Amino acid sequence: MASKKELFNLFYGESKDKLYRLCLGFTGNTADADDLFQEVLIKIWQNLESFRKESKLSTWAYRVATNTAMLFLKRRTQLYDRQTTLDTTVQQTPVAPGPEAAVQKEEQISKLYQAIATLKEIDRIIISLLFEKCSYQEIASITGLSPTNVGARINRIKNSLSKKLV
Amino acid sequence: MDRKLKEMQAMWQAQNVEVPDATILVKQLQKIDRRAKVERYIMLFTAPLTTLFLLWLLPVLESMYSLVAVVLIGSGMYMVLQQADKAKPGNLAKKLDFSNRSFIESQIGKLRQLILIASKYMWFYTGMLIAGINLGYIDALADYSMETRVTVHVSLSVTILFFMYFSIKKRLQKYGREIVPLIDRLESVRAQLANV
Repeated sequence: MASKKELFNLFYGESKDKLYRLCLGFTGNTADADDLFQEVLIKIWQNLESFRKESKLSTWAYRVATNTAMLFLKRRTQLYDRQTTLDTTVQQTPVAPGPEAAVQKEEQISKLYQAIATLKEIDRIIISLLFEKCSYQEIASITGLSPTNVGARINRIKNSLSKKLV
Repeated sequence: MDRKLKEMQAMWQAQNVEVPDATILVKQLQKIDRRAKVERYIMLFTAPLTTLFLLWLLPVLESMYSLVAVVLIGSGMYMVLQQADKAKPGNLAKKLDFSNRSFIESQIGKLRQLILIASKYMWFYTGMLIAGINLGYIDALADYSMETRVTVHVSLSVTILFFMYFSIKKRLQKYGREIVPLIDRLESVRAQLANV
């Protein structure tokens, strides 16, 4: 049986980028996303032993991450886990000055994340999970909505994002 | 997935991040684990040790007052601890693999429980503590005049009452700033989750 450390390494190798994007989509800015990412990692570490292998590790991690995000307010109003601070500051790759197209693309990406962060909490979660290639069924099991409802909401979110990104 | 969504998904995935190295992270997380374990032990032993200290301090075998005092203070402590256990972060963490809907529902209840502890159970505890301490002092003050005894009992009661009043007030103000907005936010997310 894999040790907690091995399981964490496995999870981290597979899911770190996905989870960070999820945090960034939820908060809309890197400072808060770093804080949320840190909280999520602590929660995942603390609860790895309760992972029952009934679902995929990534689905379980998404549940932990989205539930943690729901409680995330900002550092000054955190309720729980006033513990040792993890150094998880994520270094964004700086946009190299140069081709205008690259800078423009970077701006578009940033705009998308900011637009997602303005959606309602559950909509942010749904669209982030969809962009991480989760099936409707998986999204439904993570959120507690029905798959039909997830489908209907995705359509609405798409329209809302399209308007925001014009 | 339609074209528009696919474009957005491609942009989403193109977000470039460099995350910290796993080895360093695991070391930090193990440190957090050790600290949490020490805190758990302190919490676990505080109430029994306090009860044992009171049993040692007061002549419980010779005086009924002392025995009742220990029972009152001990029961008060366990009552608050039992209520706190229902809302503690450790228990919340175990619910993290729930769906968002179940998690939010359990969270709202647990956060309300925290407010209930401060607004109700801490007052029950205050009453039991005041009664217990006064009973414990009955034998110790037996040789003094009635006036002195009354003065000591009243002073003790008023001091504890003031101390507890300000502690509870401070805690409720903190909850008002932190927990109440969080409950409101979770209520709003719960409404978003309505299958309509």
